[in-house]
Parts: sequence; structure tokens; C-alpha cells
Amino acid sequence: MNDNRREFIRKTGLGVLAGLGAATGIFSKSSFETAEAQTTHGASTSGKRWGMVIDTRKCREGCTKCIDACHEVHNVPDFGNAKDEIKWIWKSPYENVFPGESKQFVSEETREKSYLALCNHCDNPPCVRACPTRATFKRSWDGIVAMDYHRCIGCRFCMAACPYGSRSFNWRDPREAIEKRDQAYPTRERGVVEKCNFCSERLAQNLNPACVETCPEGALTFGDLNDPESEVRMLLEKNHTLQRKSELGTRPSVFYII
Amino acid sequence: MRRVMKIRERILIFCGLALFLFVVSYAFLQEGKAKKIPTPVAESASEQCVESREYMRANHMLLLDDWRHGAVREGERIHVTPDGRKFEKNLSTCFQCHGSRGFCVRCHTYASAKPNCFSCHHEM
Ligand code: HEC
Ligand code: HEC
Ligand code: HEC
Repeated sequence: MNDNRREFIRKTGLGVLAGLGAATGIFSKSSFETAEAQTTHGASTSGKRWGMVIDTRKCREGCTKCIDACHEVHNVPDFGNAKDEIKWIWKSPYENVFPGESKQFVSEETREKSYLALCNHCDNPPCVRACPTRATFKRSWDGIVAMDYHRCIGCRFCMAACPYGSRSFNWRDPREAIEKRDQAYPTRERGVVEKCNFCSERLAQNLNPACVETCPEGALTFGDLNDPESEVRMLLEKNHTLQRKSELGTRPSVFYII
Repeated sequence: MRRVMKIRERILIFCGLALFLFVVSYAFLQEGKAKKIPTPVAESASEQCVESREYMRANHMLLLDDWRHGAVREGERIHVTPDGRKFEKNLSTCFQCHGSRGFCVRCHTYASAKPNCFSCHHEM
């Protein structure tokens, strides 16, 4: 082996080491970020942040009015089977909605009831970090986690990232299973992911979300979480509330009064 | 000794030649007869389009892209023209004046452009 080659190998080795060093610097930074995300520290407090309080005491068992209204105005298909199911808002048993909450001696009423679930429009949304095309993003001006269907490539990383199962994939052409097409809102197509949009199209017209407006019991309250005078903040002030899987640090914008 | 071509052979050759010339010149004969670009008129012909006609003909896809980006990603749903008219940034706006999707489709068929918007946007 001649000296030149030995020199070359030595320098390459040094280069690789330097590269590794730089990489640890980068990676340790990102693991620091996740550590920070696990606390509620860092929640955005300026600007608008739309949120919802669900009073489960008022929610009637067996009533699906909010679900029907939402799915109707947004042209959400109903294939009638779990495999192809598309859902923006739905009801689930206690242990599915609040798996982290205490399981011993929960009152029968609490256990037997089903609870409303929808996209939490997290302040720290894991789906947004997973999306490679930025098709899903958090709106800087009001905190809504939005979908840009025009960009969705159907990779479903967001579905894997969402801890709440709030996202559905269109395995089939949704148009086949829409009973009554609402002309005001576009449909989606096979190969895109979809979810609740907090009725951003209605908010643009100063209307409350369809589910909130429809509930005959007034169990749903919608408003700006960053406005201390808002109705949602009043409710949060007066009641003990839960966020789903708050231990994950996603900072959901949907709160539950149990 | 010279071989004399039979009359039948000559006729065949001339027919073939004539056919060949006809085929070659066919494209040129058609010149000036090409289908005109469809120029559908808007329903409310008195009004102007969102931008000038020339601009719209060439750039309506850019305008729509801009609208889409604005409405979906920036939360800006209103388009204001230089002369102060306001339009909502969605595809239904186009059909307030242009009546139906046929307006778009006729031209796109001619131009062989295939926008996929209408698979989801079912307005009109
Ligand atoms: C306020 C009514 C109005 C609206 C809204 C409108 N248009 Fe027009 N559009 C017109 C009129 C009128 C013309 C014909 C203009 C002229 O002749 O000067 C026209 C012309 C056009 C043309 C050129 C057609 C040709 O044959 O030259 C295109 C392309 C077009 N519009 C696309 C659109 C699109 C896309 C939208 C929605 C973003 C839209 N228009 C919204 C009124 C409207
Ligand atoms: C005057 C003819 C004409 C009319 C009328 C017209 N278009 Fe187009 N459009 C075209 C042409 C030509 C293209 C393709 C341009 C290209 O490929 O660069 C096109 C492209 C588009 C594109 C982009 C397609 C792509 O693949 O990216 C969209 C979106 C579009 N048109 C929407 C509309 C809508 C909506 C209307 C009706 C309101 C309309 N157009 C009416 C001629 C027309
Ligand atoms: C996969 C289905 C799909 C396709 C394909 C699609 N869109 Fe959309 N588009 C939507 C949905 C859904 C919304 C509403 C998003 C929201 O605000 O919640 C939307 C919103 C929009 C908006 C904002 C206004 C509104 O209606 O809310 C514009 C503008 C728009 N699309 C333009 C286009 C154009 C132009 C094309 C074709 C080049 C296109 N879209 C193709 C699904 C689609």
C-alpha cells in the first residue's frame, strides 16, 4: 500500500467521524423536541384557537343527530361496513375514547355510555409532522388542523400518527355511498385521507359548526380557547374536564365534561 | 430487345402514384378549414370576467390555483379585482356567470386539457 492511499483512507475516516458527530447533534435536538412536546408547556396562546367543549352529561344515548348533520353537509359516504368506513364525528365506548382513564370502579353509567369523538385539532398535531406533502397543516390564524385534499397523496402516514383514529382513508370511490349530495361542499375521491375540518367552510360565514348547531341538548359548545371571555373558557373554568390522551402532549382542542 | 410494359401495369402504377399524391397533399388541402377554437359566451354577456378576457383565456388555471391556495391554505376567501369587484374564491363563482360546466368542458375537449377538479367539485 503506498503512502498516498493510506493518507486518503485516513482522511476519509476522519470525515466520516466528523459527519457522525454532526448527525448526533441534529438527532439529539429532535429528541429534545419530543421531550418538550410531552408537557403542556408551549401551547400557543396568541391569536385564535378554535376549540370545543362536549358536555357528555347532556349527550343522549342513541342520538346521532350531530353525526348525521355533519356527514350530510360534508358528503361523508356511508358504506355500511367497518372496513370502508369514513367518519368525521362518531360515538365510541368509554374505554376506547378514554383508554388512559381509571378503569376500576367506574360508575356503571359512565362505563355504559358512548362518547362523541372527532378530530381534536391538536395544538401540537402529530399528523402534521408526519405528512410528507404538507397536505395536512395547522392553520396559523385559528389553530384548525386542516386538510388540503389537493395535495394529499394517500400515503396514510397521518393516520398512523394520529393517536385518536380521527382520520379515514378512501379505499373506494366515496361517491358510490353518498345518499344525498350536498352541492355546497366538494366530495373527496379514492386515495385521499379525510377528517373533520371543524366546519371551516361554515366558520368562514360566521356560522357555528354543524354538529354544535344541530345538538338538541346543547351538549356541544364551540369557541376561541385563547379568549378568556369565551363560552368555552367559562365552561372550562367552571367544570372539571378531560382531554383525550393528554399524556401524549398533543394538546387537544376538544374537552370533555364527564 | 426492349421489354414493353403492359398497359395494365402502367395503369396500376399511375393509380398508385395519384393515391400517394392525394394522401400527401391532404393535410395541406385542409388548411384554413380547421375547426375554430370554441369561444363560448358567458351567460351574462354584459359583465366582465374576473380578469380581462385575454388573461382568462391564457391564465385561468393560474388564477384558480391561486384561489385554491388562498382559500384552503391562507384563509383568504375573497378575491378583489383591480376595479373593486369582489368574488368568492371557489369554482361555483365561475358558474354564476358561465352557466354550466359545459363552458369549460367544450374548450378543454378541444385543447385536450383534462383538469380533474370536477371529480370532487360537482357544482353545476
Ligand atoms: C361576473 C361574471 C363572470 C365570472 C364570475 C367569471 N366569468 Fe369568465 N367570463 C365572463 C365574461 C363576460 C366573459 C367574456 C369576456 C369578454 O368577452 O370580454 C368571460 C370569459 C372567460 C374566458 C374566456 C373565454 C373565451 O372564449 O375567450 C374564460 C377562460 C373564463 N371566462 C373563465 C372563467 C373562470 C375560470 C371563472 C371562475 C374563476 C370565471 N370565468 C368567472 C364573465 C365571468
Ligand atoms: C378558451 C378555452 C378554455 C375555457 C373556456 C376554459 N379553459 Fe381551462 N384550460 C384551457 C386550456 C387550453 C388549458 C390547458 C393549458 C395547459 O395545458 O397549459 C386549460 C387548463 C385548465 C386547468 C389546469 C389543468 C391542469 O391539468 O392543470 C384548469 C384547472 C382549468 N383549465 C379550469 C377551467 C375551468 C374551471 C373553466 C370553466 C369555468 C375553464 N377552465 C374554461 C382552456 C380553456
Ligand atoms: C380530491 C377531491 C378534490 C379535487 C380533485 C379538487 N378539489 Fe378543490 N377542494 C376539495 C375540497 C374537499 C375542498 C374544501 C376544503 C375545505 O375547505 O374544507 C376544496 C376546496 C377548493 C377551493 C376553495 C374553495 C372551496 O370550494 O372551499 C378551491 C378554489 C378549489 N378547491 C379549487 C380546485 C381546483 C381548481 C381543482 C382542479 C385543479 C380542484 N379544486 C380539485 C376537493 C378537491
